[in-house]
Amino acid sequence: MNDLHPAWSTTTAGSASLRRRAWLFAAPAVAGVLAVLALFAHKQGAFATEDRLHFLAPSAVGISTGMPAKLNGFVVGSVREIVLLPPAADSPLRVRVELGIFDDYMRYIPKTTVARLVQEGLIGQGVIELQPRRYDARPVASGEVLLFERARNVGEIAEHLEQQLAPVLDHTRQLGAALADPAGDFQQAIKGARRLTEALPATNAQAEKTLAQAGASVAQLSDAAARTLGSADRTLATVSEAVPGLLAKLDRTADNLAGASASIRSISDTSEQALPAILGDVRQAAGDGRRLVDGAMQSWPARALVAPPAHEVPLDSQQGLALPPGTAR
Amino acid sequence: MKRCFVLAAAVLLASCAAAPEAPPPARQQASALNLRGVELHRAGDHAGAARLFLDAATRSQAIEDEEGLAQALLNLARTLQAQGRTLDADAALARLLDNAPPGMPPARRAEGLLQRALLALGRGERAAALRWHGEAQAACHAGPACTLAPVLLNLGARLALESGDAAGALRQAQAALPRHRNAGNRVETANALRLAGAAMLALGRPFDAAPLLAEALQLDKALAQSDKICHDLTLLGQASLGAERRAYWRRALAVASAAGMRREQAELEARLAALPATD
Repeated sequence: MNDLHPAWSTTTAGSASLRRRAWLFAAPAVAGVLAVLALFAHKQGAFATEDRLHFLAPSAVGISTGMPAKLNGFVVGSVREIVLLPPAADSPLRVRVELGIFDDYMRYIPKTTVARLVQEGLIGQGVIELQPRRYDARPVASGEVLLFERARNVGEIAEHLEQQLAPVLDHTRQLGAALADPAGDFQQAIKGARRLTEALPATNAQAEKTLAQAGASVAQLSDAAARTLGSADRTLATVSEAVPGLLAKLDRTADNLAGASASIRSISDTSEQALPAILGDVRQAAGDGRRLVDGAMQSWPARALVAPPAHEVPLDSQQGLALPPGTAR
Repeated sequence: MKRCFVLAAAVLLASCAAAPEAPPPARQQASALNLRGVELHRAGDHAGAARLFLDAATRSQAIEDEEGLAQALLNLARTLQAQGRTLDADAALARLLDNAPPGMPPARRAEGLLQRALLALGRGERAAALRWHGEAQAACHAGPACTLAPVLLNLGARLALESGDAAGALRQAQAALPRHRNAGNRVETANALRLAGAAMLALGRPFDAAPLLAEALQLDKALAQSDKICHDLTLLGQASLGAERRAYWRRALAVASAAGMRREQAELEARLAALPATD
């Protein structure tokens, strides 16, 4: 090196100085980048120390290494290891899951905490949710074992819903069929009410007929009495013989009249007592039926298939008018 | 995947089955009375229908429901007119038109005026009918959309015919016809066809009138309206000659006598008697 040209030596020395100055210039930037990286790593938990918690599960389905563990929505750790245990006759729990929990959060996890495998949202990722059952218990210690639960997934919820809805739909279908069944209680109640309503005029007519017959009997009786009394002045003996028979006939007629009145009263009383109850039942049944039908009509697809009821008498620009004037040929 | 579909279907069905918000009970009662009244009117029980419409009008008035009140009064006027109680129908319309609450929609006012014009025409008061018809047109065009315009054209055609303006009647009926056809209003389509046919007869064009009247007859038979069928057959007779004319008028007479249309029956008997024996 000593043989180097002086100019070359000078250049080398200058270059070293330049390099040093460049390093001095770049050092803060490099330090800044490293600080950011360190901060990022810290935020990601690279420098955080973790404690271990475990739980035992029947299966590792849905659980994977790295899956976050959350407490009240905060990520407090993750699944570190999943180990398959040797088969044991006395326990169905075949999988041991090890959770790494950040030290800072250990004091927030009470001993009564249960680890639940849940899904975030309808199609979200699976997480281990730590759910404390009671907050008055002591905090959990490193290495302790938590209880494990598996929350229902979407498929299980759908299955559950299907099981719950099936009887309701069946019942609704049966109710609709029962209402429409001509031999069913509802239709029979309607028919019964209609028959009763139709029978009322006939009952009235029968009563009027009975009264008319009774009136005719009285008229006949009056005529007979008049005839009999008319002949009284001709022969007293005839009167004496006729009067007992006449009185007997009068008694029978009076009995008939009383019987007819009692029958009419009985029919009226029965109708009067039965009608409100029957009409009440019919009104109730009709109201229920109307509500059911209204509900069904407002639901898809019935509301798309059935025309809405008309609230207006149709307008006719020629209503009630005579023949339009035209010229006959 | 299948379970997801089941869940989605259940959610979809549940959302479809959600009951809409129900109107207040008082409005619902008035609406139900209107609905039942229309059913009775259709079943031919006009007196029962009138009672229900009157009740509906009172209930709508009690809650200041202008639309419900207008609907009930118009229904009342139409059903009273169908019973031949034209003075009572006029009174119902007066309640709608002369003492109308401030919020009465212009379209409803136009309907009321049209009905009033129709009643006046039925009584033979042509000048009054023309005035109400003009007011109905003005009220209809004052609203946002004059949906009543084609019906007003039909009534205008009839008024023109009554005034001897057959060309004007034909113009109005022909203008109304495609609009009624597009709207699917068979009653007014048949009316427009009949009016156009009658106007053509008045203009001396019976061969052009016949197909229109035949179509009107077809529609009226589908609608089962005896008075209109009788009118169609009578006009078809006017558009025909000889034996064909006699056959049409005989059919019209049969319809009139079966439907209890005494005025038309007497008129047709007179027409048939006046026909030459050779026909």
